[in-house]
Amino acid sequence: MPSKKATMFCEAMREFWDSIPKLVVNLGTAYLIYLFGMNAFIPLADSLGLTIGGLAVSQVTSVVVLCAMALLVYRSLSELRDIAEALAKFLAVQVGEDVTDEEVEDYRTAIRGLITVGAIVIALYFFLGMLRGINVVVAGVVYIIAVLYCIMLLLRTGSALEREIGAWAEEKARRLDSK
Amino acid sequence: MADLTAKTYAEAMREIFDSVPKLVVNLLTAFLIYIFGNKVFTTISARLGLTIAGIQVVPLINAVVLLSMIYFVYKCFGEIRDIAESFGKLIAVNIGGGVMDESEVKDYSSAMRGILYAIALTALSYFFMDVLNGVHGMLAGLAMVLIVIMVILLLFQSVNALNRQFTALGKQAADQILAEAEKSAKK
Repeated sequence: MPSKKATMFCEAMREFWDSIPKLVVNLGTAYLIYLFGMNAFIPLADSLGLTIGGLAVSQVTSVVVLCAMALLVYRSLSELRDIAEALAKFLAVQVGEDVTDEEVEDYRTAIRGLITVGAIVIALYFFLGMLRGINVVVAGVVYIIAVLYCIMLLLRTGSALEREIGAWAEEKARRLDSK
Repeated sequence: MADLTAKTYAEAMREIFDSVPKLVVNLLTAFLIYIFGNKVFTTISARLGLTIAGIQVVPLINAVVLLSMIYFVYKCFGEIRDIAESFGKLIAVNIGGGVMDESEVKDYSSAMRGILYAIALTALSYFFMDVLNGVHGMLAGLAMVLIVIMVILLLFQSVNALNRQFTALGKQAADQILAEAEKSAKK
């Protein structure tokens, strides 16, 4: 009968190696679409001054590219969630004597928060340029919402880590007392 | 199995050496037509203000140039498909570590085809849009949007094919790591 730690380690390893390649392929494709859109199609449409019924083709292209990138990023988010889950399990296995569900849940919240904030910051870097090409106000509103969401996630991460560090410090103190 | 790998490798190399020269010749011909049509003939007829029964000669020349370029580009796409399939086979031979199956070759070929087609379409749009814009501005705009959508669909096709193969590779890597961990735990 394998221990809970060993089972969790195996699960985490499988999840991690299942999600990483998918994440890399999805993000790589989103980046390729961004490169094609920003460096080839939009400048070309701008330089030729192309329009369809008075609508600038560069704007239409921006919308199409943005939608495709959003779809790929959406697909990547579920992989990011799985990776955060796997990393949380790895951490829970490594830290402390035994693994509890609360411990895994706290590490999961913390890692998911950190990874999501990182992903949002990187996504903003690519998306904002395109959004600004479509509408400046929309870009501004999206930016403010993203900043507020990041701050909320970081607060949640902080409180989850605080609980775990508190528990770890309590365990250490108990051990010192028993000595 | 080793025979299949060697045979696939030889086939892929033969296809590449067969298709690359044809591709280069067709592309060069299309490029020459573009240069002569767009930079020489159009400029001359625009400068002279030539017309046929009231119709300007410039859009007519652009249309003729466009049609001949399409013919050569169509021929190029056949060669690009062969080259992509060969690259797919070469990747399957090298990544599979000697063990490969039909689905692996199919997925890598499909991924390579999507990427190469996307690059080719993007490169071609630089030449085509210029000429199409000379024929009709709105037509060029519509073609541009269609090409963007097509490039995105091709890249999605590639990503799906690569996802299937990379998931299998990830599973293989996890199994290997877990087997090694189990072996070292027994020691």
